[in-house]
Amino acid sequence: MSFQPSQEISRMSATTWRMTNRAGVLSVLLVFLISGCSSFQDTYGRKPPQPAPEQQPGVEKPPRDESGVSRAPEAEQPAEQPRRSRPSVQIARAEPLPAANHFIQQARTASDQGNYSQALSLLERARRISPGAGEVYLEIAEVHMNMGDSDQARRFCDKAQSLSGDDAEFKARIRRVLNQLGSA
Amino acid sequence: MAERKKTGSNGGNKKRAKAGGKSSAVAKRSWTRRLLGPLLKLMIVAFVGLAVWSLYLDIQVRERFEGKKWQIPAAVYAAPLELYAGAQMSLDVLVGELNALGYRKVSRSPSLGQYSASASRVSFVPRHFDFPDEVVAPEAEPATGPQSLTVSFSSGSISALETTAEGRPVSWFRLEPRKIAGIYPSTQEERTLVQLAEVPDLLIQALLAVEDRDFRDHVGVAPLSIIRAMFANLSAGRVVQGGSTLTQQLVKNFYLTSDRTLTRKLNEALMALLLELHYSKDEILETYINEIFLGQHGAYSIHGFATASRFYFAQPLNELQPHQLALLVGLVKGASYYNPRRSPARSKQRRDLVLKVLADQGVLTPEELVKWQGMPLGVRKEPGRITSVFPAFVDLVRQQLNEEYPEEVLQSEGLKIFTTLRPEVQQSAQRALSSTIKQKSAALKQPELQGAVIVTDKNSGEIVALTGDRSAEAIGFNRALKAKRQVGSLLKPFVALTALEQQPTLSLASRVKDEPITLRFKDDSTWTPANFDSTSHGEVLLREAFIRSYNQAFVHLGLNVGLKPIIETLHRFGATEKMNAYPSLILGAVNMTPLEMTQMYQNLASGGFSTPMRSIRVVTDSENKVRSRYPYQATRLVEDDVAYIIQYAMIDVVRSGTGRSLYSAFPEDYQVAGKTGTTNDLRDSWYVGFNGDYLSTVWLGNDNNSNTGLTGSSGALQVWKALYKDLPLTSLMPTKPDTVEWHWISPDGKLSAERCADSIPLPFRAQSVPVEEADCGNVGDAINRFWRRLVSPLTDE
Repeated sequence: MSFQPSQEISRMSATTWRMTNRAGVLSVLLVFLISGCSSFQDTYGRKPPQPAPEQQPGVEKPPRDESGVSRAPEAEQPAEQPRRSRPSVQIARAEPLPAANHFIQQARTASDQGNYSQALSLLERARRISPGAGEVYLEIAEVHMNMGDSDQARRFCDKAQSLSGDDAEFKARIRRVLNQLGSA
Repeated sequence: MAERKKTGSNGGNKKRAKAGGKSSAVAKRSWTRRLLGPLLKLMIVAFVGLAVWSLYLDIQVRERFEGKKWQIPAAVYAAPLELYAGAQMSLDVLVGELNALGYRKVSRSPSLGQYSASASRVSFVPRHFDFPDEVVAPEAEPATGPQSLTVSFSSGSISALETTAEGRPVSWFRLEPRKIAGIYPSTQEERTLVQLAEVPDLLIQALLAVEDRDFRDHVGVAPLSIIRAMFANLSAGRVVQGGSTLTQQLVKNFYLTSDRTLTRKLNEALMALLLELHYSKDEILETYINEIFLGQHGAYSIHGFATASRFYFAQPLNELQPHQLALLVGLVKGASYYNPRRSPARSKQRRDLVLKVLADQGVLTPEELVKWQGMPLGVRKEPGRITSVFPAFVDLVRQQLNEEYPEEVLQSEGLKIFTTLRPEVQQSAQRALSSTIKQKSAALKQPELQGAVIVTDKNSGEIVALTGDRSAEAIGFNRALKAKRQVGSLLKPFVALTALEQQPTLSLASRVKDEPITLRFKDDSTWTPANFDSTSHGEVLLREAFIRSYNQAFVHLGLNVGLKPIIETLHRFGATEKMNAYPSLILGAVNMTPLEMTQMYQNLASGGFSTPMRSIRVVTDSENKVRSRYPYQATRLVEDDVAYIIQYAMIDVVRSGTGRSLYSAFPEDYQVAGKTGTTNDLRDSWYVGFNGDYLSTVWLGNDNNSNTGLTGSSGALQVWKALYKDLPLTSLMPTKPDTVEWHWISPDGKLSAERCADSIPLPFRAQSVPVEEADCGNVGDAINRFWRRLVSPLTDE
């Protein structure tokens, strides 16, 4: 197995966040040892608001300026040194919300009946509910493909791809659609 | 209009005079013929004259009637509030929307158009609305009639949506959209039109009982009423009473003057007869209900019962109770004299009289009469809005509409415009802008300080809010659309993006020179850019230069990349200006509108996909048939990994750079991205930032381009902060592309590890990962790697 630092960092950070949220008592060592959650996002692709984690030891809270220009304009030049903070990284593919799935199902039915504009209309509503879910865009791509608009289909495959995260199966689905488009 | 009528009537008189002359020329006939001939001719001529006159009036009245009846201005709607489990929405937002839609709060179980609310639940009975994209009827709207829905909230989102009675889950529901404007000729008031079927029966009963009892039977005029009125007038010596039928009143309403001459009366009677000849009673009644004058609001006159209902009660007509309907009917006699806001006692007397008439006719029982007469007037103190609610946003919508629809189509064909506006975000944006400007202009003695805010749904490019003035009501110069201002550091992300595209090995850990530089041009002039703090920082990481907005570092970087590719990038992302290849461009020496700037960042925030901004989703005709649709589009503009790295750098701007002061208002784990911009002499204060849902551009400045005393972060960023306090805290979580790797990096840009002091995590494209390793003790790393390999297969989710 090859070492993939990228995933390691994000996994570590993910776990750290979870720890701080739940108990905030686990040692840094544990954090290093336990790694495995591919994402700390909830299944909806949205991160619920959380209380601020405790400050890391040794990192000063930055001075806060709400007064505007009572001091000399400092805006382009913050006073403090770079902070060490872990970025929140989204690695897993975000799933559509149930309400979006509801519309995806209806759109499939419409599409099967050749009712493509209706299908697109339904998928647009799904997209509004779960805009971060690659699934929705792949479905839109498939409807465009069925309509014979391969340009649009490719664009939406592209968009789906950019939201596919580490989901190999989903990527394979996109490839299948792209292959069909290629042979069309 | 009046002038045309006058010429017409002169023409008629001439004809009659001419006729008289002809008849006197005829002599020497038998006496019968002598007597009958002229009389007959006179009669024929008079008849022809009357016929011509009638024809003329007929054309007039039909033109007026058809015009009024069929000229339905386009209605502009906000986006509907969508309800589903998991939606990020607070209870306050739903209650606010229900209030704005005129739903009434009750404590018992709600009926149509009412809601009840507890701390974590809202129940309501929704009204029906025909959505253009409603291909499947909502589950919550069975054929048996509207059902009560209950929405439960927990920690800032909807936890459940179900039918109130059975508790059956409903996957989604959307409220009817708010109407935010109508497209009228500029001087006319906003008007709500109703069809007869939507008008409450009681209103019609009251109207006919009080104003015209024989309406269903007469032919347009009621001679008996006229005679009655004549007696009253004769005894008073002047015109005091009108025996007018509804039809006559409608005709009178077509002409805005109110002189009461006999000719005028006769004309009206004639026109009333003609109207009845052409149109059914229902058509006349419907037009009357939409036309009759019922009040005045400043320069705007209130016509029609539905508009009056909004104006006096802020409620739709079909939800008014009997005493409210009676009040409106009472106003027909004299909207000014019986004005319920100015003369409540008089108005109540009149209302009670109308209720009494209804009771006399058996429509109300004696008990009901007592009950309704006992009710207070129920008129809202502040007039309900009759002009456009969000003028700045409607400006933008009109701009887009005018590209495709001629003005007269918009004003007459009853189009429905479904826009992307989210009223609650719009209100927050305006509040944030107005309050911050108020505070800053007082503190800095900048009374003229102005600003603009544009908010988009970052995932779709839909414009959800737009303000172009510190005051919400302002009509005129819309700065969001029109103010072309220097953009300053807002271009830096696009300079960095171009550099990453051009140089595959460049990364945020690459070293750039932040050193003094002087450029000498052909004409011997020179340019010596300086940093904001007037200090050069030597060799720094690109990340440092980015998050602290170092000018000198960016000039070095930009010149290295070349100005042409930078200009190409700016245009690719949506800039429309023609740009000269001057080095100062790197530091944003170019003027753009806030709208243009928003489009550029929108394309970046959507993961590097071109997502054209839209303010309209669908336009339908009056029969709900789609005329235009503006679907979501996405075309790749830049590779995923480059877009991802720039987005991350913008997240870092807020975490550790010039946007840092945002975290005084938000939890540390709330991840957002942003970029500040300040121009020379503090003329412009910019901030563009986005979370997982919304992207917002804020600009502050003086119209005369003078010094504001504000930087990007002391000005515009504060507006952004105030706005996002009102919005759901959805973190920005760009999905990591396969080609990106995260590594810990030492302050001098070498590979490091988390436990090493001062190391920071950064995203890299594979080919740009630093090769050199920082010296930080490698034994621990090896152990860690060993453990990780051992544990990770077991804990993988």
